[in-house]
Amino acid sequence: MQQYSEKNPELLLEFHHVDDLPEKLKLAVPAGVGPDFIRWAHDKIGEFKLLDLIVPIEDYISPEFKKQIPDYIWAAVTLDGHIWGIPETAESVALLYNKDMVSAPPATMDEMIAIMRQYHDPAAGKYGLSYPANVYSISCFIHAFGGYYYDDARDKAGLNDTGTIKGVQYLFEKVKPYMLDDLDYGAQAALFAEKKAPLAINGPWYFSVPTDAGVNWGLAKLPTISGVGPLKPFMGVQAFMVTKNCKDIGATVKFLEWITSPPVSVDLSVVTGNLPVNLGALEDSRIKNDPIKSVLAEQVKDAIPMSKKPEMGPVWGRGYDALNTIWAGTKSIVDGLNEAQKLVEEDIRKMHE
Amino acid sequence: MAARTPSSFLINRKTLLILILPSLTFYSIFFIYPIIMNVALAFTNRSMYHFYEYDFVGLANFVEMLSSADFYTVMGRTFFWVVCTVFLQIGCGLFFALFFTSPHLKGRGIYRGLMLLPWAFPNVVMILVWRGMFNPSFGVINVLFGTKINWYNSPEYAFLMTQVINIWLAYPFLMLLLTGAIQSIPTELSELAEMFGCSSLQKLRYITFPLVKPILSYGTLLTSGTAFMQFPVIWLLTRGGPGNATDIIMTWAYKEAFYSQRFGYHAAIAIFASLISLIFALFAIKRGGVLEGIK
Repeated sequence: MQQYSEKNPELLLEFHHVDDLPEKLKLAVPAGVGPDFIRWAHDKIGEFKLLDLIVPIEDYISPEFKKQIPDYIWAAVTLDGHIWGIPETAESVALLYNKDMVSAPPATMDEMIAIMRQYHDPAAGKYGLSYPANVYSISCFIHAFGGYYYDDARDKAGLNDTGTIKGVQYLFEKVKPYMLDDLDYGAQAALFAEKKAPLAINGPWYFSVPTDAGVNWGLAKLPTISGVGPLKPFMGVQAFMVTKNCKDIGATVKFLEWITSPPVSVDLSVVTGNLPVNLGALEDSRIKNDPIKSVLAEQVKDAIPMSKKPEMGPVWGRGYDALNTIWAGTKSIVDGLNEAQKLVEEDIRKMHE
Repeated sequence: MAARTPSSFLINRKTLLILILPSLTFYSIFFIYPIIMNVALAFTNRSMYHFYEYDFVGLANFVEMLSSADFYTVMGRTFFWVVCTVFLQIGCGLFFALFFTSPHLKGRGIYRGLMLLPWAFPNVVMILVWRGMFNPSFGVINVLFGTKINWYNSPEYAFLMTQVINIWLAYPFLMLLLTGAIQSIPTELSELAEMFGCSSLQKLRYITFPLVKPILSYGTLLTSGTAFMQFPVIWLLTRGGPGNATDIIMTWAYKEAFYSQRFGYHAAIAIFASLISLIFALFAIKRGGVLEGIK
């Protein structure tokens, strides 16, 4: 920051950590106060756009910078044909494996099931997989079968899409039998950290847990389902978005390009542990030779960006309720998802009224 | 000459007004203003899609609520939840209050202090601790009773669990309230009763109960109000699940209105729930002599 300020003395740069940023932004920006730009996850773009809080910036992005970010990342910050943010970092779930229990990570689901079966012994408190299954984290199975939760382009919810149902069925038939029968995040996450499970599906926010617990672990891409395709998790992209209050969008975007390009983005990544999305940064030895970040960089290539629209809100909520109901066994997969889809469609219809 | 009340003897009306002005201002800003805004919101279609520009829609939100089939299921469950909560919370509060005011119990001050502990911790933290204790795989409750119940997967057990925790969170308040009432009963009455050969049960029936009754109805009023509008206990434990088996009015309202960010509709449900609560209160005041307890 200081470097940039010294080179551009006309700019006054100030950074603040603000709790509950989206809510405060809704009050501040219409009142003409608040920041020039913000950093937030890309899935709020739709809401921010709808409330007229952020502005499209595609006209201000330099052609050189445009080429430094891969298209699948640009897709995450693009809505209705406009670019709404400068992508900084990306994350998704991937496969963690205990190196003392598993010699090589499984490349296919068949191999993964074999490993899970070998270690699964609930009577002894051991399980095949540590997997805090929720709407977000099970998306990899749904996407593998071509299913989806909410399609921004077609404006359609897909909780009862054939692919979605197949994905959930696959999860319940092939994976759930090797899991602890409990969806509690803490209960699931503890299994891998306590060496009671050889494998885990979890994301970067969790990586410090097994490390601190002394687990000798490695990261691998999620396996492929033979004849179907790779598991494709949801991707979240942290992006800088320019608010409506910004007095000089050109200068702001120029600064944001600087902060998200190497070497700055790599320096930041070393401190924060986040995966930068700039192609130049990914080529830096500090990222390329990092056993975790290099795998994560491969994983996000196979990932699907989360929906950016407010219509995803009901899908998260109803999906959560449906997953818990199906898990509890009070409803079948098809009934649970059909019902959730109906509720979501109703919610969305009323949303627009 | 008219008798002077103590307040008018010491200060005049104007001074009185100035003295209550600061708290009145805060009360108006943080309590009365939001209520008025909420009532106004209930008659609009304000939502994520109508955030800055929204329309007056009259009673549409209330009509929508009343024409939802789920609403009646949820209301029925909410009444059941309130009745269970009131009986059990009052029962526990009264039991412990009687127990810890017993003259035969030594060190009752210490016990009473310990019994008040649930009240001393933030509710949300305690609910999350309880959630861990009821965890089907490593929770202490299953270990303690040697059971293998999945408390979150069965509608009946989930309801039972939320009740247990809800009672635990609220009984200290009622215990404290009733302890005060029991202790204010003159000991002479009890001694007199003993002289006439009354048993403990008779003393309870003819002396203690009639004298704590006003406080008891006051407690009932407060408990039913909070039980009716309960949100965190259900939301943090089961989120109304499995399915919607433990949904009560406020958690249902949240799902209906906030998954889709419809603020006007949510305000309407909240106001309706408040009105029902108010009717409870008025009924209790009229029939139960609640205000005697406050006077």
